[in-house]
Amino acid sequence: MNDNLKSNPAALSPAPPAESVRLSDPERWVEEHGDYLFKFALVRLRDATKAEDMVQETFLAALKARQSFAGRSAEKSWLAAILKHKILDHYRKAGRETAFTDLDFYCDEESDRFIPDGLFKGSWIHELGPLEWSSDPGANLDSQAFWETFRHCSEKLPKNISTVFTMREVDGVESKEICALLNITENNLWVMLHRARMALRRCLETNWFGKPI
Amino acid sequence: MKFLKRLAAALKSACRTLSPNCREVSRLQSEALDHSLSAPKRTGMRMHLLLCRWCRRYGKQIHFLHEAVRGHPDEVNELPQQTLSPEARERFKQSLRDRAK
Repeated sequence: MNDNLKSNPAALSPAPPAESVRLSDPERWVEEHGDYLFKFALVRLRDATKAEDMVQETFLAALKARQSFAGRSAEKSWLAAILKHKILDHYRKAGRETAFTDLDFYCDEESDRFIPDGLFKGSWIHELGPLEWSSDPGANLDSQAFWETFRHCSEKLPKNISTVFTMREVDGVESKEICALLNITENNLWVMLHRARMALRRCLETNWFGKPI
Repeated sequence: MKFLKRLAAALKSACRTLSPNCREVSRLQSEALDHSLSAPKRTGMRMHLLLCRWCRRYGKQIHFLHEAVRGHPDEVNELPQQTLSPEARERFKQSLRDRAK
């Protein structure tokens, strides 16, 4: 790599100027980033038709805003940022029309793992409590199979739970902003996040960490 | 009498906060990832964690999840089988052409 740079000074020339980014062919976006954006929207909306609509809106908004995009960030993350805003907007509008929280998320999925009554009510039933995971669970993060299991688990979450989990944990939207957006209380948000973590933890334990590798 | 009843209720709730059970601690540990807990809740949670290895494990595991997801947005977003249909692609391109005119 270094040798190549020394013998070929042209490799050191700066990235193409912003001008060429601005003039790039928008139809190329569809080919290069269409699938990425579609998946991005699908994870957050779980509805292929809506996801397609959001991606189309994103391309049109990007076309309009093209002049202000000076190539500061990669084209892909620029488009993803627009899409993220579109999706939050979508939830903001939907939140006004229908209540986002429903009662069924209050039922605790792990009820069967706690002692139901008596002196030790609410304690883990020991045989069903969390298992010891491998000593270095971080080593799994490079494994495609691990993430496949993760996505499989995440798809099983109820839609609303999965939406808040993705907003908070993946997109890093502030708690207060999510509450305002979806018109829910912070307490509701915490219960939903708690339930998401509980269900994901259990699912990963059953389908990944509990299995001999 | 009313006063005593109120006092008893207050004491009961203080006891609950200071000695939460596993179910409550699992929820507190999750909450602690999103905001800082009040001092009594935090104290109760920590005392419980000193004694309970199941809850320590639980906490470690949801913390792992929290960090893993934050650090790997691309892996979370990847849906291998899902791609845009050729029709959708064509539609997007057409709308971009129309708008660009």
